[in-house]
Amino acid sequence: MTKPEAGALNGGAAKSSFPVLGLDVGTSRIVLSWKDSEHYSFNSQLNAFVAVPYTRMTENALRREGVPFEKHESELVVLGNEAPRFADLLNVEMRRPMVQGVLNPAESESLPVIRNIVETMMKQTDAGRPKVYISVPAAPLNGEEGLTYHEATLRQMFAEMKYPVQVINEGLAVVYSELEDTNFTGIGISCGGGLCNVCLAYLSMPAFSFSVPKAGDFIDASVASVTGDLSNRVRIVKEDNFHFNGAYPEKLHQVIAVYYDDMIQSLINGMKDAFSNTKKMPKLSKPIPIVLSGGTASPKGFRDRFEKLLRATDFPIQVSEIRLARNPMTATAKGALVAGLAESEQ
Amino acid sequence: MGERWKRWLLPWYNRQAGQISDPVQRLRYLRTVGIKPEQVLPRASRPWTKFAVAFLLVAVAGTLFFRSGGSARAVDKAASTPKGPRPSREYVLDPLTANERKVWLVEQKAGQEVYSNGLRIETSSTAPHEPRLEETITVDAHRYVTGSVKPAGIVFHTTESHMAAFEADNNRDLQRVGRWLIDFVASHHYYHYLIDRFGRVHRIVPEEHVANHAGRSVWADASRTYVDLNASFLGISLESETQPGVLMSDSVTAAQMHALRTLVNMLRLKYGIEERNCITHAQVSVNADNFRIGAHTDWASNFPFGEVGLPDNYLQPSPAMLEFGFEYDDTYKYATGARMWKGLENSERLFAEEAASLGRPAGQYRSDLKRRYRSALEAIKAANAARNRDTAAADSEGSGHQDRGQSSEKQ
Repeated sequence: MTKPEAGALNGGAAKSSFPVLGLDVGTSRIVLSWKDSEHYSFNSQLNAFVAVPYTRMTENALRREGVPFEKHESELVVLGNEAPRFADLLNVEMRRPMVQGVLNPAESESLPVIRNIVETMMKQTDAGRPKVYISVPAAPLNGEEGLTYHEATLRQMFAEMKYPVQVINEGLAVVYSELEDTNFTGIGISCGGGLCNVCLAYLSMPAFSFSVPKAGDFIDASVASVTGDLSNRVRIVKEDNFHFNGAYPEKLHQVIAVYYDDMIQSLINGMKDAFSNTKKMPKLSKPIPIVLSGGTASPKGFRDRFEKLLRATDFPIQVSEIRLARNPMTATAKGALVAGLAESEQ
Repeated sequence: MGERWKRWLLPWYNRQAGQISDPVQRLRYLRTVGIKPEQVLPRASRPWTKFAVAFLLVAVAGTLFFRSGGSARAVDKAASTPKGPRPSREYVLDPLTANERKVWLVEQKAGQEVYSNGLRIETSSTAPHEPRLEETITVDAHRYVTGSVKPAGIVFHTTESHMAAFEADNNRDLQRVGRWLIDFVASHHYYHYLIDRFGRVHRIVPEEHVANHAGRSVWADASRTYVDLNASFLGISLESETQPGVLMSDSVTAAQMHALRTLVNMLRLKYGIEERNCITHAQVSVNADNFRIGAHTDWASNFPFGEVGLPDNYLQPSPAMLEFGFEYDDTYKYATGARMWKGLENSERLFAEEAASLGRPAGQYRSDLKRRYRSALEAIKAANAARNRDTAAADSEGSGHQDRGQSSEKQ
């Protein structure tokens, strides 16, 4: 399996046709996956953008560098992985097309931006019109606000782009990506930017799924409000050099750890309540594994911290092990692809 | 509802999927076998069924009352009549209570153990046998478990012994027969536990030792296939006799059922035994000479799985049929009930599907499986002979060491 592409959108493109693609449309990142002979490959872009004042020189520079952007009347919109660099340069917050796992209702540019990022990624696959399996979040524990609109809008967007599309629950995609050794039985958790998606599957059949509306963005915003930093900077520190080791070099790390604990505890409490109260619990004859994925689960020590807090809880399900996805950033996209490959004709 | 019974095929699907190495192919298999949510999820509660059951009970009670002339005395007489139809107790699914989810040893003293769920075990008749060992054999690249230190499951038996009427007047006979029975089974190491008619649980063979209760037998769970279960499964027998049909044998007492539930509860928690591995002797026993399942038919049709806190394991397919090509005959079908027939139907269908998926005629496929079973028996014999030689060499007294229960069994 190749490493996910973290660089420019143009890099690492697939050059052959693929009948199926997996796409994780997350609050924080959009990850495209495809299978080339025996290898899974990925292309990942930040689901964010920054608007910079228009000048011809800037436009030419962006084109030369292959940086994805949209040209508006008075501004250039920089998309994807390049957005943080420009945001840092201009000392402005990045704008986010999605929030809390769904399209950002306060962002008028959300759909055009996502479409632009996805279209650019798709072109690189040179795949004709593959069927695209996209991940969608589960309903939050308290309701289904926004999910129907989010899913319908994405479907419409892909229909306009002439791509056949199939949706798959995000947590289930994690199960398909990581739990083949238990015949896709276990709990898949995707800790993303806006939501933590949870799915309990039994022999590949999703039994119960939900989301908890506290994830990476919650940590960024909470830390930023305490330290006075921009959320974007908090996110960069969090993703680049934060780890749970009890010895934090800066106050920022210490505060991040506090809100990480808050997020993990909320996730565990949500799972405990949900699994205790649901009537959709399959009969489990033996303990099942939990697999953690997503950018928010990536810092070193996250798995251990999660396990410690979970074991301290009277959790209603017997857990055999808690493991981190082989590649937390791409597990959802890979799972969506695996679902597509399994459904496609041999 | 129509698909719900297929939930008993889930372990089989699980097992088959586990043999597919490619994750995508494995997922494709699981998604194409047609697993449906209703097979995975528990039955949705239906409030009207409670009303229907209540109404039925009231109607039956009313009918009995008026038929008896409406007098209290007549009702008492009807209730005390030992014979006559009784409502089936087979389909009551009675999950474990909160107190049954954690069980611990409260007290251990000479001759008795007391557990927190009310279980009392009489230990004065315990007769040590041979320690259980981890043992496997490999045939045609298939691995079979023939011994396990940790019990993998429980096989339920009946003693098929003489039954005196369960009356106060017979108290002396009941006790005397029970005592003879305990002495007999202990001298032959027949079971790990025997539950007498008064509900007393007697440990016959220590749990960590082999008991001769299920000699020629086959069972399988999601990960392993067990051949000759004496050294891998625990044996529990009720002092009772088999009664064909759907009703519980009259010889089984309420005290026995209560004791059985507490014992199974304790053993399952102690060893982490899967509920699907708690089955009856009739389900596992095979006749290696004629390749028929059900060489023994104790608990062939009316084991009260629900009352013991287990799902209806009669619906499970027969591993002996699927793994080794065993078949069944009319005698077995007569001895069993509708629930077991579903398990047999499942087995036949799965066998046909398996043969078809391999592109093999069913007869030829069955012959190959039978050959594999014979090879397994040969491997077991060879392993026993080697162990006996080792034991004889180590034991200068040369006491009659019996094969590890592979062929010894209560007849």
